[in-house]
Amino acid sequence: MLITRGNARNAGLYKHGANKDMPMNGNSDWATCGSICQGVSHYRDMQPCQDRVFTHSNDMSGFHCVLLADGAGSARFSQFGAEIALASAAVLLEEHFDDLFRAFPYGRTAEKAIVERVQSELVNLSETGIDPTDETRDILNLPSREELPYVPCELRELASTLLAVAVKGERYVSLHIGDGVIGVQKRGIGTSGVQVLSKPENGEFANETYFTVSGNASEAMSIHRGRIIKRHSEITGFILMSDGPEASLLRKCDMRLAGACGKLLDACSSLPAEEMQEQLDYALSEVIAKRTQDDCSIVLMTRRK
Amino acid sequence: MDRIIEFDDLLDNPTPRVPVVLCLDCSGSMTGAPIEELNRGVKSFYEEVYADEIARYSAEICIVTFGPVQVETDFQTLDVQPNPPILRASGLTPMGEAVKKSLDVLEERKKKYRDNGVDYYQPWLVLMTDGYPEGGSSQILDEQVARVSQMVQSRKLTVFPIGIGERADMATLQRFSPNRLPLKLQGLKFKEFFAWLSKSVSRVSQSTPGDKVTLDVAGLSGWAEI
Repeated sequence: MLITRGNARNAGLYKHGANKDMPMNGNSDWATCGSICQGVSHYRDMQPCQDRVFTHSNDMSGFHCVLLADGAGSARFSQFGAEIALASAAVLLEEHFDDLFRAFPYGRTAEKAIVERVQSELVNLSETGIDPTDETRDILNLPSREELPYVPCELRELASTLLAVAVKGERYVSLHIGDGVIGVQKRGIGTSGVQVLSKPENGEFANETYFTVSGNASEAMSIHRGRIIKRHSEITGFILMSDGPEASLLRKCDMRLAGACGKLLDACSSLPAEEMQEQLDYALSEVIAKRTQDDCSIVLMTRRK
Repeated sequence: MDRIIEFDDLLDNPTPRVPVVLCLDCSGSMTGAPIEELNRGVKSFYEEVYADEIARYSAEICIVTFGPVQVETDFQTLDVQPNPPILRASGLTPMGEAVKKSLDVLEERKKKYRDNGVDYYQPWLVLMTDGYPEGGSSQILDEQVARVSQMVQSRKLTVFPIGIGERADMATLQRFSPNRLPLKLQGLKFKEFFAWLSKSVSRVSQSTPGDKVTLDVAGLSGWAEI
């Protein structure tokens, strides 16, 4: 089988971090589920899956977030950078949710502060070094753990995109640097279905995008804020995807999302956590990943039915 | 177990395109072995790109010849147009006008990509000549030199000026190549050059965001005088 999945846990460093080591689908009003899948090209080139997903809930405060990062293909340690970006962004979103939602008195400085904090964490990681698995060390021809427990690296080697949606009470905030898509599912008069909330930000060319380590990351970051319930409509879910699934879930000529997005969100809101996880893993590796060479990742957050 | 989604639930997007313009000197001086070897090289280029399952749907090849300046084949992927045109040698060498036509059709193509939501990679321009500019406007030549240089400097274009034979005007080719020296073909090794080009296009077509597609410098020795 060309596609493997779940090897994110081998990336190390953040044991509490993203992906399948963490509990998905809590007991709150919001259900979450995420999955990652190694792309054919990464399998062929003996590269690990560089996509990561992360969820975090705080039922006491009513805060819930889902995040996704796609490590840059050319950056050899980008899966480590992706994990750091997700973990630090989740903490910052929870700490500064109200600032980001109000965008006052900080305005864009709140977003800038988040990017700077994420970049600061990445700089720390590049200086203290990462701890690749033995297998990764062999593939990348790195010294053994006995010789060099932590491998320092360049900041650019930790480059990833960053997509996040946080909900607190009846408000939401989304952040987005780079490609990939954030979709929002709405129910109400004239607005039902899944629509693009935040579109991919590429450069002119297909192999260009913005990353967390880019000098202009804060300018490139798009942010959306809103209320879950409005007079005539209600948000029932969010879907975040990397550019792998984007290839078959987003029609670029009119920015329309595929029917699959709504089906996944509906299932996430009603299925038991374990069954949903198995279904999403299958959908990603056996359906969506078959249409691309790239790594794939999706994370969902839906109102429970 | 019923599955949540199937292939029918997905959408189709066009494969991201790699636009490649071959701007080829087919002036009278190319008569004989040079034009025959050029035709063989272009044919092998088509065959190799077609054989690559990604590049076949990704690389869009446009051939502009001079002189006189004409578009032999407009941008098309090889799954649609797998057969190369037969090039014939005649006329002078209006290089500036040919480069202008190449860049104009390229701009039109990029607009079509954008209008239709088709992703594309940095375009490539291959400029091959066996002589000096002749029969064209020196002002247009100067304008196109500036235009190409500006595009290359701003990373909007990759350009490969190639000289054929001892009479090739390498100084003019150099003007079109601000970042690297123009290369001279070893003898009539068109086939080797186009094999290298097809591999390079294939690498571009498989690149993803963040990838830096580096030139296969080692491969140059197979066809270029270095």
